[in-house]
Amino acid sequence: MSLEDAILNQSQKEASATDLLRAARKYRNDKLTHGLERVNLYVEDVEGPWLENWSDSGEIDFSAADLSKDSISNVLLNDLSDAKLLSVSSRGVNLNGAKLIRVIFKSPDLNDVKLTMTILSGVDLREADLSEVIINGADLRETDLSGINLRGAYLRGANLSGTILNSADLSGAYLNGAILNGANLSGADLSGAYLSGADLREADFSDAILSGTKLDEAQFGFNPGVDEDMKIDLKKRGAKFVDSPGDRSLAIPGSPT
Amino acid sequence: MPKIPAGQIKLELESVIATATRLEPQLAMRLRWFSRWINDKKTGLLTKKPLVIDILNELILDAKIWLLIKDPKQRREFLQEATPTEQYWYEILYPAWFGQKDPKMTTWTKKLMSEQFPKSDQALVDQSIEEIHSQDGTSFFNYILDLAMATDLLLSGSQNKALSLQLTTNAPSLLARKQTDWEKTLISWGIVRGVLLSYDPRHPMSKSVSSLLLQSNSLSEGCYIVVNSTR
Repeated sequence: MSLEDAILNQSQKEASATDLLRAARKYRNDKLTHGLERVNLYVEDVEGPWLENWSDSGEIDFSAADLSKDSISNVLLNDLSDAKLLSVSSRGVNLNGAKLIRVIFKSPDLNDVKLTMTILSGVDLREADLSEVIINGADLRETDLSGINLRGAYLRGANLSGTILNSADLSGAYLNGAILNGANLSGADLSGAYLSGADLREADFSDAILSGTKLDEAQFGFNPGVDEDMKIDLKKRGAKFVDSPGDRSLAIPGSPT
Repeated sequence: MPKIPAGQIKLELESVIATATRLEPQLAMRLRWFSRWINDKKTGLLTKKPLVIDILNELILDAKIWLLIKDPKQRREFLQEATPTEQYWYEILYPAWFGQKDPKMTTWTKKLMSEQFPKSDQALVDQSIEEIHSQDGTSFFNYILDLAMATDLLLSGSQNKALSLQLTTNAPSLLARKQTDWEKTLISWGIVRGVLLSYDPRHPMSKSVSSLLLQSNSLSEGCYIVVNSTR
């Protein structure tokens, strides 16, 4: 028996919208005559242990959800803090400006998702497939993106300061002007990526792949994983080093030197 | 009369969330928020069990209705049966509530925990509702309207135009600020017409419900007025 069956005092049946409307109306009018006692008209053992037994992990299984429309932008994601999104399929969703604080995406398919200016701090996107995603200007500081697939992603001007990107696939990604200082790029694939004008100081390039990476005016300095031979090669490809004699002046205006 | 066990309310909520997840994720999120809130506050903070079930019952019934009327046939039947105030709630305000951030959610859930229910002016609200019905008007009220939308009740008169009514006992010196907050809240939810009825609890209200029904018929959209019941 359902709640509406109890209110309408009817046997179990598939309720229509009008049945439910009548049940809701009756329940509302009960308040006028019974006040809060109306609860006891239809629910038994109200003072029983149901509340103590209430459990909710906050996990939301959106595996069957239709998230393929723009209308969920901002609002839904504002309320998604601490949520776990399982097997989300959200192609074409516009999440611009959303806050995704501490959200856990498990194996999300977020291709073609727009995340421009999105705050993703603390989000666990490990091994997520975000290839060709547009995240220009996003704030991804200190986020764990290890193993993430950002192949061909648009991350121009994004703040990836201190972000963990080890073993990430950033091949062909557009990272022009991005802030990657202190990022962990060890083992990351940056082949063919566009890093022109990016701030890469103190980023860890141990075992990173930099073949064909565009490095015009990219700013390096104090980078683990970059030896002298590699430095010479990167300089030839347009990189600037702030830890090299004569290159100190390259410190970014407004940033600590 | 058969009753449902209190423990089943959680299952009802889960079932509605599952349906909403497929059809309207934002509604699923809002309902899930409540479930988690209960989970987080159940130890010592949420003590009035009938109140929690009462709110859940309203949430479950409203969500079931709203999800069903996404079906065009169900919606047509619903529109034939629903009063103007019910239509206003289910078609306009309820989707607005789960579709946008509820800025007062933290405040009103705290209120629930501090057990400020039923409210001191509940008897007056109930009396107004009975009068509205006796004059062929319609009304609608629930926790969300009251707590989130600064609306004690929605009412409508002969022209079937819904009006938000809020009762207040604020002293004249505090009324201006109350009015500003009230109006801002109504506008933020897209409630287009409202009356803030100021009354003195020591004196009977001289303004009758008839005048409110009249306001419901005549007040233009975008008008939010204060009515002093003692004048």
